[in-house]
Amino acid sequence: MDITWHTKHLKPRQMIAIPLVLAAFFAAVFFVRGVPMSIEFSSGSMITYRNLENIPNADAVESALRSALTAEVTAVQTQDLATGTFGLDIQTTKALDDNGKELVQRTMADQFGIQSMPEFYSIEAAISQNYLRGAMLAIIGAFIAMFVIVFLVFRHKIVGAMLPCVALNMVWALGGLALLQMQFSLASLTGFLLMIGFSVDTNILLTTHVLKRVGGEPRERMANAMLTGFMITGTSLATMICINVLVTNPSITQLATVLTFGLAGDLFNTWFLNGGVLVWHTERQKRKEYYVSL
Amino acid sequence: MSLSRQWRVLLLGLVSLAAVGLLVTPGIRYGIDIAGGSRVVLKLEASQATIQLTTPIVGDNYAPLEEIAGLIQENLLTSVKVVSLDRTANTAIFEIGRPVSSDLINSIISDKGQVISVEEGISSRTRDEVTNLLQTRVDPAGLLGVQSRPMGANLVLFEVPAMDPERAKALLGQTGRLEAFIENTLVLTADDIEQVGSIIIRETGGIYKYEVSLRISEEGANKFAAASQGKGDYPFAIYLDRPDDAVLLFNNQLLTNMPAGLTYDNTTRTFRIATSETHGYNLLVPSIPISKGNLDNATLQTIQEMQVTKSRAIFLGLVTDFSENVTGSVKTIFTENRVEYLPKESETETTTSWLQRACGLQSAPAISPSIAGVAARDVEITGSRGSYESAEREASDLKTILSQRLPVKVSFEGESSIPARLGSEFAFEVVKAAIAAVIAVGVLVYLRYRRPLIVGAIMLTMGGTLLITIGIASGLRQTIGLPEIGAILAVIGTGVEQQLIITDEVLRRGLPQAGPRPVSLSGRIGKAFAIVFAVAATTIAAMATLFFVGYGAMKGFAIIMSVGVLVAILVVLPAYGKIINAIVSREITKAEKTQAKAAQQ
Repeated sequence: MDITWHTKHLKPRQMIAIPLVLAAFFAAVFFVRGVPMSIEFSSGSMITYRNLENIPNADAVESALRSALTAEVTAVQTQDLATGTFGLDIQTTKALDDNGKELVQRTMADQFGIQSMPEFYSIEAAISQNYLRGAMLAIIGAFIAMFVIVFLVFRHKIVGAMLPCVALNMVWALGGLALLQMQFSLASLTGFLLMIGFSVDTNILLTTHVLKRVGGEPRERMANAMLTGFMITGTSLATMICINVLVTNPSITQLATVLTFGLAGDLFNTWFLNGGVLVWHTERQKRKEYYVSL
Repeated sequence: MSLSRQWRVLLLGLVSLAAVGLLVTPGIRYGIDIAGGSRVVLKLEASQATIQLTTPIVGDNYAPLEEIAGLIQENLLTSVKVVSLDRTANTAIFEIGRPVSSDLINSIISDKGQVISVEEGISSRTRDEVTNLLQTRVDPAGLLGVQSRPMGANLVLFEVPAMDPERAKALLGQTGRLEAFIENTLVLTADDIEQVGSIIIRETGGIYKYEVSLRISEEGANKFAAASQGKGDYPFAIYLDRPDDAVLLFNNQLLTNMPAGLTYDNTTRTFRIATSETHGYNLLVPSIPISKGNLDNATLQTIQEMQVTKSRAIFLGLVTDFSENVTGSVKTIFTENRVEYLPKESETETTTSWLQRACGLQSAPAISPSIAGVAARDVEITGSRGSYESAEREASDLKTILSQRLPVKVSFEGESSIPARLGSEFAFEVVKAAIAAVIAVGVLVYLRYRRPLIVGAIMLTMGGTLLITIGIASGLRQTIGLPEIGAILAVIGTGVEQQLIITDEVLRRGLPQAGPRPVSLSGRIGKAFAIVFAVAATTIAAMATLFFVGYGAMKGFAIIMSVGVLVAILVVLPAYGKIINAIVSREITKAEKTQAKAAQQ
């Protein structure tokens, strides 16, 4: 199988169309299914038990309440530093009304024999709107900084095409989360940051080969770079698959899912979209030269 | 190859060794997910006072609001904001940075308005502001990975990994409200501080004395000049978070057994500390002597009168130092959770320093006659501790608190430790996944290049990158939590990528219509490095932005990733270039030899 087939046979316009269609698909999935927000990103309730004599297993409490409340629950054992007594801090994405509070108390009493009265608080997202705005700003700032650097390196505005490619990888990753109904959490945010690093690499590899190298046709140089690029993404994907299979921790799975989809998207967004744009640009440049020399 | 040409490889070896050293001491600091930590619940004690304005607000003239805010601010030395204004009802809600009573506010604003109601509560904007400030206090560089989340109406939950709870308490619990008095006149407040300067620590006879220098604004310096005119040798009493909303209750036995230099004035109800034969200062928090067993009517009445302007009572001593009868009646006056206890720090603490601590007195240096009446712009706050470390820590905490002052008062609601969320099972899984990933990458690399030596070189340098990055992270005291593990993965990933780019460039057999002449081996390595440098520069630019704009988790990620990329580009990849050069040139010589042999035959 020749993985560089498209570099020889497709018109730039066709090359560009394929990733755009795929990205549109993932965008649609994202908008239709939506991505559930993790406990860090959503408001809800905090239930605190203090002075417990027998502390139940936090995992058991989590699963019992998760099915009772039909909402995301995290529980953690606490030890009061002043008195040394034990307790439980339970967080849920559900805003508890009186019925909900009663349900929690009944579940805790029935399943774990805890009769004492907990304190209920409403909690706001740990990642507040402010934080999210900051995160967005940071990502936009990162894009601008990257653009400045690639522009300085290549001194040509066509390299700006690299950035939408990186952005489209994010669309793939969001669509992937929506497809598997996986949570958007702090871990998946980390995955997004990671992806920026990975996808810039392949795009720079491609751009260097097409714009800076001499010898051979641009399409040939692109095919050549692509072999290296696929190897690179392949090793990263292999690592992610190992992690996905072997680590059961939800945070790590979320991180790896974002990367798996993002990297898969990168294969198309770099080697079809950015590649298509660069080939279109170099071929047009050539035609211009040809007319001028006439 | 001669040794001089292998210095890059040597450098990699040396840096790896240094990294091992850093891993041993100070060692890796794990995040809250991996090592557990503490949860601190803080109460932000702001009040929302709804005030009926005497002068209605017309058009853009907000002077009446500013006047009221100014009066409250001046009298209570706390931040005051107008949260909302109802023009039709002619009322406004003021957010005041401490607990207050309607009577107190009415007495301050007099005829400017009438208090309708006072409620506990904080606006979400102020809460965000306070939370950010507190986060900067405990985690200035974002290395620790502190998380916070708003809870209930005015609580904030902080999760702090691996920090001494006492220290966390000191940093989170203080407002940073500075006041400096000469005789009972307020001369300077925190608003007059322009800059918090450096810390000096001196040792005299086993006692470590610290100094934190403060740069005072010109206006502040003028106030100081006016107030200190002719007051040479007078004490300059500096308070931090003076509990001006509280009344101190102490066992009257204390009065029969007063240390030298300490006196109690029954009319002003304050303690006085003599600093020399002629000078001294009052501790500016009202203190009432009570008997241990029961409260007589006169005392009870005094306390009741105090309750008009004071919102809490602090007993000097433990709960058990007073009878239930006494604490019970004080609780009925101030309500249960507005009664606090402040025992001696240790048996050796003197009564004088206990009282100073209770009143928030930080230091009281004598004004040198040469600067009395002069617009001095530098003021030092001093203190002393038994060891260098504790003096340094206290001084730097003081500096932090004064630099990040809070607009509202904070108090502790609860503090508990929590275990690691990702247990030992998680560590085992990560190790398994890492081994599997290394094998998978190795197999892929082998399938592509078919050279075991290259696979070995890639694995070895990959290990080097990992080791050095984690080593430097330990050296920086960066907490390793979930985002940082992500960054480490990214560092390994991009490291391998760059090695693959170099390897591909080196092994390239040239294109069909390659340039006019074939490029030399070192030339090809140079070309590969051009790509690798561009990649590294872009990644670092992106990460620098994340570091400066992002918060908490993003900062940790950005730090590790930048360190990793720098390590790769400066140390690991140059060495890898040399190694791959050696491998390939050996192959070329071998091939040439066989060719030559074949030609001979």
